[in-house]
Amino acid sequence: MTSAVLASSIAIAGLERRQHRRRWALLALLLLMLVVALLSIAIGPVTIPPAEVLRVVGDNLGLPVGEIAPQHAAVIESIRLPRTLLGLLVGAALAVAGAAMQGLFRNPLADPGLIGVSAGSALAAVCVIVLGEQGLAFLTSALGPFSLPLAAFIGGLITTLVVYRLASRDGQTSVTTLLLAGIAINALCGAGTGLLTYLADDQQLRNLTFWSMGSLGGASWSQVGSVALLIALPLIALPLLARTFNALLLGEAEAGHLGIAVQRMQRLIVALAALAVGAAVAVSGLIGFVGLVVPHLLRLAMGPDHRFLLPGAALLGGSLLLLADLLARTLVTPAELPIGILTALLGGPFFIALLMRQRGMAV
Amino acid sequence: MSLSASDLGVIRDGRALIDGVSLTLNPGEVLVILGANGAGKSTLLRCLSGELRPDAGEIRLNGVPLAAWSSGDCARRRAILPQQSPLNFPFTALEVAAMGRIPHGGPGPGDTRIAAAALAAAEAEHLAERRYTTLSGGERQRVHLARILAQLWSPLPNDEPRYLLLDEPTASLDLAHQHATLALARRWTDRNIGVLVVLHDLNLAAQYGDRIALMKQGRLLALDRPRAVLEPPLIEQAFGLPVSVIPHPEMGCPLVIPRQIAA
Repeated sequence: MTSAVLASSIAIAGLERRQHRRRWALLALLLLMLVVALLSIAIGPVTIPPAEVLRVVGDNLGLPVGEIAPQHAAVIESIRLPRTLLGLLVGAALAVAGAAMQGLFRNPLADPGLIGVSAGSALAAVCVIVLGEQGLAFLTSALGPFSLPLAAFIGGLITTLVVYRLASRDGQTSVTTLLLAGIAINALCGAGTGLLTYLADDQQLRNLTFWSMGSLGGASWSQVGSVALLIALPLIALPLLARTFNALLLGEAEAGHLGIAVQRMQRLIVALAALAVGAAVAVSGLIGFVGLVVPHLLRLAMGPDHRFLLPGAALLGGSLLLLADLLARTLVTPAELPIGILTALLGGPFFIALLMRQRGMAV
Repeated sequence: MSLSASDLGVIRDGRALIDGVSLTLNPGEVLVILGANGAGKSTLLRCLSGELRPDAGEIRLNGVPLAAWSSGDCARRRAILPQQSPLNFPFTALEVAAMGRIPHGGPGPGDTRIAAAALAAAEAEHLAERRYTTLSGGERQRVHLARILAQLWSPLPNDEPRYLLLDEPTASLDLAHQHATLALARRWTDRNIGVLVVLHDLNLAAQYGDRIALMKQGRLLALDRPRAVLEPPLIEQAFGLPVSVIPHPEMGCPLVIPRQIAA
């Protein structure tokens, strides 16, 4: 009996130590995000010293900071800062949506891009771009700047529901079906997008190219504003559902036995994740693999507990996307690589490695 | 107060999975469900656990219809041990056990202590730091047992009766752990808890059950003390296997021995 008590107290101490480490890890991720944001504002065609960046930010907050070069202030306020904020929001949204879908499907390979949710969002957005002036004019005029994110949200919602229906049976999801359904949906949405591209005029075509490859270029304050509203909700709400996510990993029936209203929660999660992906796709096009890579790295470092995974994904997702954007716009100056190509180059091999490791497991 | 089912019926694809089943699980007793494959044991358990809504009949938990309880209140009164869980994320065993505290607003620091104690009760304290994904089937089963013990760890106000439903808890366990698990379930009846166990082993049922419900083709064949249910004609009727029943040499409970099947 004494040895049992001893073993228990060692286990409790171990868990408490781990929780403690996780809290520090979240703090470290927050710091990382701030540093990357600072770099992202400082580096570009005009390099601005980080101290100057802090002075401009301080000046905007009404602090007495002394002399500032006006052209630096202009570059920061009208170009770098909105782009940096947009990168943080989009990265956080994609990573949290990825973690949420992996929790929902009980599968670490679920990614909004791989299972077709992003493609569904993009198809709906392309519909609005190409048909917005004709067939759907009454909608776009009624909804204004929200019509694109809203369409992307609805597209994402529908594809998530379709994939979920296809891949789960009796509360079990099959990875094989999930990924195959993703291939089919990606192909269908790609065909739809291709058809619309064929119908598009020159101006629309330029807009569309941006969708297929993903970019944070052209970030503006109005974009940041509208997308922040839409992304804030899932970004705050999903981490609050952390215990529900943990329970759902036990299985749908088991979560129900623990007092979770399973169906209602699953619908809520689908809607929130689709909102995050839809809003992100609406402003930045198709940026893949963020939702796959970020939660996976965090699980390796901090374990699968969603109370740390979801906030961690928001912080690390923002940082990584910003870092990728920094590379995308500095590697081949003065031109700019589409960020989606960069994340695919990095994320593709990562996904293959993950798949190889999973191969032994039952699917 | 009890967990009671009256006149339950479940129909799927035009076939009655269970039909006219009535039984009452009282706090303080171990009620064993026996029956051949497809006899409706799991369907009955899924009805009692609220997972499956019966097409006919009613289930009451402490006098109140199941549907009238909030899911949280239900979870504080009734815990279910699944045959297996699809969990495939690398939580530690202690973290899995602590999930049993979710209906109580956990897991917080106090809940971690309860989870550790529950692991010890399920003879799984040495697994606490291990990743769930690296455990064997039997070890996983004991971690889930700890999880549902944690769920019902502390009594309710006024010591309201609570219920444990165990779906083939011994299926992947070795001999010693089969007996340890059922002995533990027996001990927990002292906490004003009623235990319902689905089993395949008639002798485990004889040894640990206060009452046995024998099912065949969705119906209750018998519901009585082990001595009355474990009679060769009833067993042969339920399982289609001729048996001899002799008294256990030490405990006096029935001991069921299959006889040679006529070629």
